[in-house]
Amino acid sequence: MTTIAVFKWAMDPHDERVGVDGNVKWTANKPVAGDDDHAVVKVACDIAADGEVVGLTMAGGDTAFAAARGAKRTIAIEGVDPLAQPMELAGALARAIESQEGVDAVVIGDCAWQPMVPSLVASMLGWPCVLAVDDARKEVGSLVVTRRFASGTQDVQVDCPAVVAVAARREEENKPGMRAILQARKLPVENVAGDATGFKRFESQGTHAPETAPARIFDGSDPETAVAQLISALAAEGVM
Amino acid sequence: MESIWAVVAEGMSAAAVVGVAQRSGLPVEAYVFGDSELANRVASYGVSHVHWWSDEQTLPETLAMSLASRAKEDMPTAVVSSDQATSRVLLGAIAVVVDAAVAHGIISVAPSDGGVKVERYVADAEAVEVLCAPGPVVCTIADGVAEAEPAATPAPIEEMEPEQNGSIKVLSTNEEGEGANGLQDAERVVGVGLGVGSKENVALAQQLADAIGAEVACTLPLCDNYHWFEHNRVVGTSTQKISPRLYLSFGSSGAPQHMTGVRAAKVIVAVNTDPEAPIFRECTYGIVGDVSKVLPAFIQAVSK
Repeated sequence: MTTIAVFKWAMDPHDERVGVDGNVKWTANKPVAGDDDHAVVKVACDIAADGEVVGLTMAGGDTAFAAARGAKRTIAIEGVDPLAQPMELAGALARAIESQEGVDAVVIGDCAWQPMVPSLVASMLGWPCVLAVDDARKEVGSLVVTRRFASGTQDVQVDCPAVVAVAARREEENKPGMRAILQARKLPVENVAGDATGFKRFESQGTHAPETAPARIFDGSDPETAVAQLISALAAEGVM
Repeated sequence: MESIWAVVAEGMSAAAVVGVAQRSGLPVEAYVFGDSELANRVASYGVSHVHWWSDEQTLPETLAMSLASRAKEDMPTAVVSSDQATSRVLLGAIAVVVDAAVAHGIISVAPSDGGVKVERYVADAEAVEVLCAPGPVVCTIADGVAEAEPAATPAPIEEMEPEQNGSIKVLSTNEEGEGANGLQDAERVVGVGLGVGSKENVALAQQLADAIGAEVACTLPLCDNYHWFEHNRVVGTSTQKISPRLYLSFGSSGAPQHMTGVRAAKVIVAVNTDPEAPIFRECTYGIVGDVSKVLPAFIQAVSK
């Protein structure tokens, strides 16, 4: 059976700028590895155990991210606008996943950059979906998934095939070394044409300035006076 | 008749979700997954109708396709919810079934010229982008939007039959620790970031929190790199979101990963030596000053 690990599929919104003409512009032109992607590959390897992990990416260039962390091969989706909207991104991913045989789980980052895409992919595939996942393991015909729940965690059993969206709690502790990366670059990469067409989309009508009130800033060079002014303001707000 | 759906699967953002839906000017149909207290609270916000599933009997995720089928029949103009995990599973199913345009982090939605117009922050909230779609839209709301106010007459609540499709079931629920629970419910939170500088200042932050009846939170590096806090005290993108009435931040620059966790606070106060720190663009009040001098002054002032 095959477990798919989706990586480098979303644009980093910190590369988003507003130009002098009021239009949104980007300083980058391709998806980058997200904060959750290293945990995605780890969870995919945990689920697969002795099975195959396949990396799936929407980024060009270096596609060895998953292979350097345990994937046996990688599929690179080409030709999809990196600024595609959530339904289009999910559609391109779902169509690429459907073209693979014997997939029992798709692991993807529960990405704050594109928070709707994992559940859209699941819905397009008609599979159950669990978000905010810490880890997962395979059992016969199902996955046992630990997800965040209120202030704690919850273990749920979900039938396979399923979509599991992982939210990393920490940065990657043991990054692959140069030797592992160079070896990963020798593993097979299949380039496939992406299809993100046929979905309703928003059209941008431009931007305007936010209507938020500016912050009231006190000079802290005299801490006692600044704190007194602040406490007075907070009392007026009814929060102190 | 045109309507907007407000999908509520957790209490923290219920008023904000209904608030965005109400400002569309359309009648609000609320779909609530939780306990009876949550259903009653949503009913008090001036919605037209509350459809309520008790989460003691139904795992909300198992209702995703059923809810989507209902949306296909009703064809609401828009469906809005928070970005909480359960809500997003429900929204994903609805969006695909009704063939909607999807956006996240919106601050408003309204019908416009036969379509739907939404607004959302872009470029770290430096601007608001206006988006239009021809058909139904499915959106998560941004943190910190204005909340719905209680109405004079509560809406009728229709308790829905429990359903299970068996594809997902709960095996066990584990509480991680009392600290996180305290943070989730706290009215006031004192947060510390890397700029707090020393463990002595962390102790002062704890002293201030004790003096004003607050919980203490931190940014991720103070837990991961310095090990000054347990993980359940971290607030931010990959950990937890909080919504106190007052969030006092000491020595945090305002990195997006942290601000995502506190943006739902009613009032944010920032103390930082750097007047250009991004947090001063997001706070309500700020003090440009040295944390090690402001904290003792704060403790002294509130202890009087």
